[in-house]
Amino acid sequence: MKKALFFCLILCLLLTINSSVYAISEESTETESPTPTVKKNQLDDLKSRIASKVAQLKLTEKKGTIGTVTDISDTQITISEMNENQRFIDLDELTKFNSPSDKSFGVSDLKKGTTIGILGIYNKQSRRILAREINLITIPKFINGAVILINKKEFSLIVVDKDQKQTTVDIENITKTYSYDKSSGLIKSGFSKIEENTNIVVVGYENKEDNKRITASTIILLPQIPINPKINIATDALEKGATIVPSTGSGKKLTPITKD
Amino acid sequence: MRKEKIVLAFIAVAVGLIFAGGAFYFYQTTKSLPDSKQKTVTVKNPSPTPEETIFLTISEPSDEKVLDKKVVNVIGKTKTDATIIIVTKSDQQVIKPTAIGSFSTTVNIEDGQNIIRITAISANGEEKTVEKIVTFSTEEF
Repeated sequence: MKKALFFCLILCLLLTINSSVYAISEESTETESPTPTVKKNQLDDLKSRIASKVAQLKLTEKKGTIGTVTDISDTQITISEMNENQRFIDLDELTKFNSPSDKSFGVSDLKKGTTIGILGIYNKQSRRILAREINLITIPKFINGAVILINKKEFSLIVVDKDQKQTTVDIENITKTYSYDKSSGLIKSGFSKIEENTNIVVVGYENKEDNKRITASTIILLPQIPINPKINIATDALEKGATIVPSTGSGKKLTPITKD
Repeated sequence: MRKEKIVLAFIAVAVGLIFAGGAFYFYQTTKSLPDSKQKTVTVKNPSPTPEETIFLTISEPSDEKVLDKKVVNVIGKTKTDATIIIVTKSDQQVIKPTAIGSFSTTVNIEDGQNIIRITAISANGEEKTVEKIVTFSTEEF
């Protein structure tokens, strides 16, 4: 028993001596090569500047978004985004305003309901964007649905989507039509290849006079892919009074064609 | 002497445990429940899992991203039997996912803000759509 106690005592003593020697050697190294005060200050300054820059970079980032103006003031715009979220956009003297048709476009030209694209600095803390560019834009309409009626004379289609919303799609010379085939992929197609009860994807632009009508810029036909089961493609699915109005080619409509 | 004591103690504990275990086992085997306390449990066949609905996750591009290139990587995951349609204002792609449902392609974008619309349509026609806004800009600020 005494032997064990003596052994423990010796071990503790040895450990204590070892650590104190280590501490002395650490201190002595520091005193042997002292850093000049000026250099140390410069280093501290650099460190703090880097830290502040890193913090700033972490806090902000470039972001671009699209929305419809819901409120305007001299220093702030409120927009409603595509997902219905409201967002505040800050303006300052560096914010540039661009419009494809008006070179003098500015904040005073913005009205409620105008669709704009915003590019700016997003602050993660305040969740606001400080706008650097505001662009007047026209966003395309996308429809995934099924063709339920074709007007071959007037190059128009009625497309219904999964929410049973019917849209008349005008095919123009600028419309690019493709068809997807599982073996050959995406191939060029044409209006004559479009069949009723076919899956279709349409990209187009809304008719300013009729919001149920769009002019297609791109059409993708998906004949080998079944129609969404949520889509009602029954013959009586056409909205009451849904018509395809023939076009004169100049935009003026003639006698309506009504589904029997 | 001391070592012998320890060994003896261990042996005694082991013998005790064996004896106690044997007694408990004997008690359990002879125990019987009256019929009134017995219950019949019927395990029904589990109802079939409803068919998996379509899903679509896009890992790239992130929404509202600003890019200095006009070619955007679109990476995501969906059902293995789905067909993926990616459309922008100026480009369109129709692709199939890999055997594990992942997919990757590139699409072209134009100046300013662009909407990339990604739709996955499963073999039964069900569909899921995700839209991402990406902006092309080389402006430094």
